[in-house]
Amino acid sequence: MSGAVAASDDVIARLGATAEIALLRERIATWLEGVDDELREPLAWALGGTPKHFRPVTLFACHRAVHSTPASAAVELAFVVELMHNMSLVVDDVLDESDERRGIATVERKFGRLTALMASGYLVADAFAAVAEDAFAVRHLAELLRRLGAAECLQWRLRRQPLGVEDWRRIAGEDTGSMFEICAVLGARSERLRRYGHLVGVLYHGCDDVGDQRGLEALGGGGDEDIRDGILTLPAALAIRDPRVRERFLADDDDAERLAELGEAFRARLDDAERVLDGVADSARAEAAQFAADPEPLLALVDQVRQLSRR
Amino acid sequence: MVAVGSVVTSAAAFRVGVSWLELWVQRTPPLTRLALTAALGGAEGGTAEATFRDDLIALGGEAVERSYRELRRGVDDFDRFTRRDEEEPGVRPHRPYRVKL
Repeated sequence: MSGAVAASDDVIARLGATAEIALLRERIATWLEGVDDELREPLAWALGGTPKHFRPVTLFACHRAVHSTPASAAVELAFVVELMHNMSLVVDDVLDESDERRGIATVERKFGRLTALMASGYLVADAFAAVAEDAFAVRHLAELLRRLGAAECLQWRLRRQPLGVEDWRRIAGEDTGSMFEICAVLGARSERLRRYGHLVGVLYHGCDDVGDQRGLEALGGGGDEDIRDGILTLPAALAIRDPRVRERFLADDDDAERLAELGEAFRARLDDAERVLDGVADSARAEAAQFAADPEPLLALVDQVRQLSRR
Repeated sequence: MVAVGSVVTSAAAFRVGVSWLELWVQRTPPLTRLALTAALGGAEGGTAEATFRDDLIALGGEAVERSYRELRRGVDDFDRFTRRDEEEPGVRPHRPYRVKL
């Protein structure tokens, strides 16, 4: 077992979701056996690597927090969330022209752009087909798809602009936040934990931003690309409060010296970023304590996500 | 139910007020310092102005979030206090006539 897989499984075990994730992996394996021969390999590749499964774990935790039935009853919902999540990763990698994802070549690099885009469509189609009889799930998956699309456009439109931390919150809330929100709603089968899911998503997004700047591999990397593209990450939003950094951030070129200076300025604000993330984590804990019958799985999840920026 | 509704609404309004007060007491001094630094200008003026904007919006956002949380808590309390302990099972048959399938 690789170090990354062991670390990921360790987090899953600490959150008490080992049995459910095993069922989810079985479900994915069974699904892959039945997909079209033409796309089986790229689809298996898209779901391969060392996924951390934070989204299904969130769904299972929210299920346990409000229901007395076993979380295994929610495996089908976790399965469709995983398909949707992987679709978003395949599309992200095409847009970012990324070379690697989870330590292996992206679907686009391995199989080409056409196959990557068709595989992403296949993932969405099968996600909806899997829950076709469940109107609640269909409605929320549709919401997720709409919001992810709009969030991608929002994030791109707002690049290289003199914005602030609250603008970053809006982007994070619609991008990663929407995915975790839907996980919470599907897991609880109600709106009760929607806000909790939203905050965990924002926290995850922020930890990803900070982890990238610390040069961590834990969340997939990508910090250099964000600086190059002028993406408003949390450290960037804090650093561009300084007018001199802001001026450099707004420029649109590949000047290596400018990008290196920006990277340095962003890293200088990591402690401030950690404080912002502590605030988000506290809000998520307050939501869990207030609205879950059993908040323990939700509090444990917040603690695990919070550590991602420091690993 | 009207009495429970009144008590729950008053309690929610009180909690919103207390949480707002707590928030303003915590955040006003640093905001005031930032506003002064921004007003004085100089090398730190620009950074202070941007930080003030961020922190002021964050204060507004958090006030809204706390209010929303307390209001939802009030609705939950109303639901809990007015729910009958045990729902009696309906008298059989639940459907008085068969539905044609």
